[in-house]
Order: sequence, then C-alpha cells, then structure tokens
Amino acid sequence: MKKVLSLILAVVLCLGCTFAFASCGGGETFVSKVGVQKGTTSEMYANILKGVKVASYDTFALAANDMKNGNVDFVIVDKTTANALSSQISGLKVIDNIPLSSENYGIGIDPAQTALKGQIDAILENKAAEIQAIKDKYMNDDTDAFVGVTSAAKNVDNAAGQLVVATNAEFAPWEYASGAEDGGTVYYGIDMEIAKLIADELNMELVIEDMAFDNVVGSVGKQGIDIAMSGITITAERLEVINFSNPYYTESIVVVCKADDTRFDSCGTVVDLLTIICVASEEE
Amino acid sequence: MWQEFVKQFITRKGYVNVLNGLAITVEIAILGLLIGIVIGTLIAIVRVMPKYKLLPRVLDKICGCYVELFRGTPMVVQLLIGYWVLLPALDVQVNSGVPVAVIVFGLNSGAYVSEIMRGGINSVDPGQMEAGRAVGLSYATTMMKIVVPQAVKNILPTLGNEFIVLIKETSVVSFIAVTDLYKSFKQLGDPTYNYTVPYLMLALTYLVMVLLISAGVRALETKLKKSEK
Repeated sequence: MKKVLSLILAVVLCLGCTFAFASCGGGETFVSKVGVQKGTTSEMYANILKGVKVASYDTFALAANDMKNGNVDFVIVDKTTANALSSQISGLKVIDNIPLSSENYGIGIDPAQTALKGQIDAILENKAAEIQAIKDKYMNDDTDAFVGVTSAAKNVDNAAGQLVVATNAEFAPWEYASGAEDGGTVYYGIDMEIAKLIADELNMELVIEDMAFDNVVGSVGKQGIDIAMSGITITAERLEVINFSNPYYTESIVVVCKADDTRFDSCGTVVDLLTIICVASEEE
Repeated sequence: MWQEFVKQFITRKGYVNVLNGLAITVEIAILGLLIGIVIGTLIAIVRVMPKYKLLPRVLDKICGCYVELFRGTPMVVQLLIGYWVLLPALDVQVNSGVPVAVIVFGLNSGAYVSEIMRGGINSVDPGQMEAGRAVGLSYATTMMKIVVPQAVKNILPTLGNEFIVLIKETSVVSFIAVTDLYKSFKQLGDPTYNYTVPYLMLALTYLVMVLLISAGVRALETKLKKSEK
C-alpha cells in the first residue's frame, strides 16, 4: 500500500514540475508589462494591445508604485491624473505630449430617472463658467481655492430630497477624500465640487457613496444611487447599462514611465510609442 | 516619516477618520460574531441530534448545505452578492452597508462556529447526556444546561481564533461602500498617494486589536478553568 501511495505521489510531483517549467519557458512572450487600474478604460485599452502583459491594480497609484519597484514597465492612465500623481510621487515621467486615445468623461445617470439627464445637462450648460473655474483650480493645483464637500447621511426614505453620488474617491484630482473635519470625511476634487453644484441647483442634499471603481458604474440605479461621478469615460458598453450626461471633459490616455527611462525620448507619434510597448495592436 | 504622520493624522485630523473606521470595524466584527455564535450553536445542536426520526434528518441536511455554502465561497463574494445582487433583486434599499455586512459576517461566521461547536459538543463525555436524561431532564434542557456550557469551555481558544479571523476579514467591507478601518486609513494617503505611514499604522492597529482579543480570551479561559480545581 505504501509503495502504491509513494508511486502516485511521485507521478503527481513530476507532472507538477513539468507544468511549472512549461509555464515559465514556453507560451506567449511579452514585449512589455503594463500596469493599469482595474475596471478603467486604460485597462480595456491595454487588453487589446498584442504582446503586452497587463497587471491590474486597485488604484493607479499602486500601479505607479509597482513600476518604481520594477515589477511593470509602464503605466497607462488618464492624463490629468497622471500629472497629478507625478507631482506627488517623485521619479515618474508622463509622456503627455503623445495621447494614446481620446475619450469623454460623462456623469453616469440612473436610466430609470428619465427627467434627471435633462436637468443635469441643463446645469452643465448653464453653469459652464463655474465648472470651468473648478477644473482650472484643480489642474493648476491652486490648493487654497479647493472647497471640501461633505456627504449627508443616506436616507432611503427621502430619495426625492437626496442626490446620491457613487464615486471612487482615490483618483486625485477628480475625487479624493482627505482627513476629517467636524467628524465626517471631507471629499475634494473636480467631480465632487461639480456634484455639490448639481445637488445645490437641484435643491437636493448631496450624499457621497465611496466604493471600488469597478463597482461604480454597476451601482447606478441600485441602493438609491442616482448618479455616478468618478472620472467615468462614456463608452458603448457602459451606455448599455446606464445613461450618461453630455461630456464635461475630454481626457486622453497617456503612458507613464520611470523618470530615468529614456526609451520614449525620441518618440513623436503614437505609432512610435506603440512600437516600443507592443507587437502590433489588434485594433488596427 | 514622522512629518508625514503628523500631516496625515494630526494636521488633517486623520485621527477622527480612523476612530470612525475603528468603531465600524469593531461593530461589524462583534455583532457578526454574536450572530455567528447563536446560529452556530443552533446548527451544531441540530447536527448532533439523534437521527431516528425524519425531521432531524431533514434539518441536518439543510444545515449541512448552509455550512458548505458559506464555507465554500469567499467572504468578499458573499458580501458583493448580498449587497449588489440580492438586495436590488428584493428591491430593498439600505442607508448604509453596515447592517448588510453584519448579517453576512454573522451568517458566514455561523457556518464556521457550527463546526467548532459540533466538535465541542462531541468532545463532552456522552455520560453527561445520559446522566441528565436519567435524572429526568428533557433532551433540550440537558443540552442547553449541561452539555453546551461544557462544550463552550472546551472550544473557547478556537472561538477566540474565529473572532480574530473575523475582525481581520472585515477589511473587505469597503467593497460595499462601507468606510471601515482599512478604508479610513487608506483615505489618509489618497490626497498625496503616500501610503507608507497609513499602511504601517493600519497593520499596527490590527495587531494591537488582535493582541487585546488574545489576552481577553486567555483571561476568560483562566476564569472558566476555576471550576475544574
């Protein structure tokens, strides 16, 4: 009996070793390893690149830190956020003169609330000057002008009087939480201040629901959540699930690399950039 | 690093944030464990019942399914399904994810506690049950008054372990928009993307909590052992 058992064990071990070596040596070879944030359009973009190994992180800041640790070669992320990040973390270089793609941020809206889209679009149009001012102060890092936004306690019995916003407050300068004043968490960021503006215009109380980004889009219309503002790009897939306001910002996706990485210095076009990152895009 | 600590925790009043998060984590873990102990004890009793009749056999199968279901799926998946799938399907809206987390953690912990408790009940000498029945006590009375108290004493270290596991597992509740200890520490690093101090402090806070629980469980054990002398 012992002999039979040891024989089985030996066979299993041999098979295990074979598989382990096979997965190391053979299979697809990668030109580069790219870090992205889970559930973002950057992740979708990276996934269609051929010869690229994609590593998905909870936040793009983790991806950038992992790049500094040498575990990924580049990070693909939205340009505004990339610039905000590189001003906070040293040793990063943003290739912001060559956008990989261009996309529009929109406010996700519960499709069941048919009147809400019209109201929000009207506010975006009428308050364009105020909204531009909000964007400008965050883009210029005019810290003193930032206005903290607090969330009221959610009350599902008062759905009509509350505007519940889903967000992932880990995405400066669009939305992030900072410390506590008067006992509650204070939110900052372009989206948060616009959300406050919309809530005030609609004469509603603002409630902020902070969650993981890959839950934000799917949460709209559930648990009393009316809208989603989290630097969300309008895409065909997302439009199938939720409604979107008119675009309020045009953003581009860029590559971030280590400051001492000189591979991109001679790049002039997207094609130059992609030649370094991947084999050939399946998109073309 | 000290400057970063002062900036994040004192200047920006991060400590208020952290204390709020701590209260929520402790609330979920303690209420979860209490629900878990109640459910677990009931299930364990059902599962050790003599199975001559049909009803105990059916109940045993149902409890068996429950235990396998909650032990067989990850905590975070149960939370996601509970909050994002079940509640919308039942058209129930809640003001916060905390009650959902308490219930899910209670149900999950119930599955584990039931197995711990079953082992505990089985470890009590069958003579105790026979003696109880022989002096005319009913099965239920003997179980609740004689067998379970002895079982609880035997399983106390394991139950303490379950509480420790539970309090650490609560770190996934931010998936359902709850600002727990993990999330509240993380928020401190978000404005500057500097997580070194918050993560180290987070680890330290969990460690201190777990050490306190271990000490509490040990003290309780010593106290309960007095009857054996």
